[in-house]
Amino acid sequence: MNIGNGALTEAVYYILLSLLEPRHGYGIMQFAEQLSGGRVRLAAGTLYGAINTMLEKNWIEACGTEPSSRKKEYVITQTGMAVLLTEIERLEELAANGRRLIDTIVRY
Amino acid sequence: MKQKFHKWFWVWEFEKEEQWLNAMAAKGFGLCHVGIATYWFEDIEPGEYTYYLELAENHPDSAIGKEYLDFLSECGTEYVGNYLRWTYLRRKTADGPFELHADLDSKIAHLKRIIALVLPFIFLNLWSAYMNLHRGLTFHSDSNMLVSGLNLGVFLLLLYAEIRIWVQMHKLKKERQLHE
Repeated sequence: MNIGNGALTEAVYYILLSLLEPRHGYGIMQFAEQLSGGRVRLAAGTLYGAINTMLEKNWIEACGTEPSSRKKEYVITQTGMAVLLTEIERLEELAANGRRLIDTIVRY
Repeated sequence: MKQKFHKWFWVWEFEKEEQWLNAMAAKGFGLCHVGIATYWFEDIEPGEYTYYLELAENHPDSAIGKEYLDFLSECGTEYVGNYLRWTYLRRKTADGPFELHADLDSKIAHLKRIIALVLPFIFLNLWSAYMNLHRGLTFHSDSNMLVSGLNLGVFLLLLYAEIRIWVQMHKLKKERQLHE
């Protein structure tokens, strides 16, 4: 299981967060926008590409489709979960280092 | 009522073409069908739709291409038509700004696809210009010389286009070192 250690793009990060529960493409867009207070607007082309790459890497998987439509739903996998947790730790480190240095060096 | 327009755009003018389609949409002419250098417009509310021109990864008639268009339509982006892999899309303007590729990576990938599309034609024209020049000189044939000249002209035009797109892509790549 290779989860890598590079930074995720903002789009990928928000897609993974959205897929903690099963969602289809448009659902991901709406959720990401809502979660970020309207700041993150995933573009459909970008989203499509990211979903396919993440499926290949087994970070997410397709799950039961809604019977009434052809819309595909996706959900995060265990690998995806590990990727997400690693990224959250990385982001926390970035933010903590930033705040700490600004507090100690700039303020005094 | 549908109206037919003839207009020609060179391959590197995809942004100009898109601007023209959006200017037409602002006047109440909404693109509804596309052919070779031909555009059909229907009456729409002025500015009702925003248009976008994309060189798709897969032909819209292929299975993967169809799947992509289905995905887009699910996200509120409507397929209008295509010319080869060039795909014409539209979205209700009220739904917010229309960006199919919002991040730099996918913008760069889009420009790369366009560069790859044009590249074979550059070599083809250079090769044909050379072959015709060779024949023209060997057999003192004016027609070969003429074709050679035309090929050389097209070669230079395409080379210019390719360089312009490449410069655009290079700018995005530099930007990519700072932002997503």
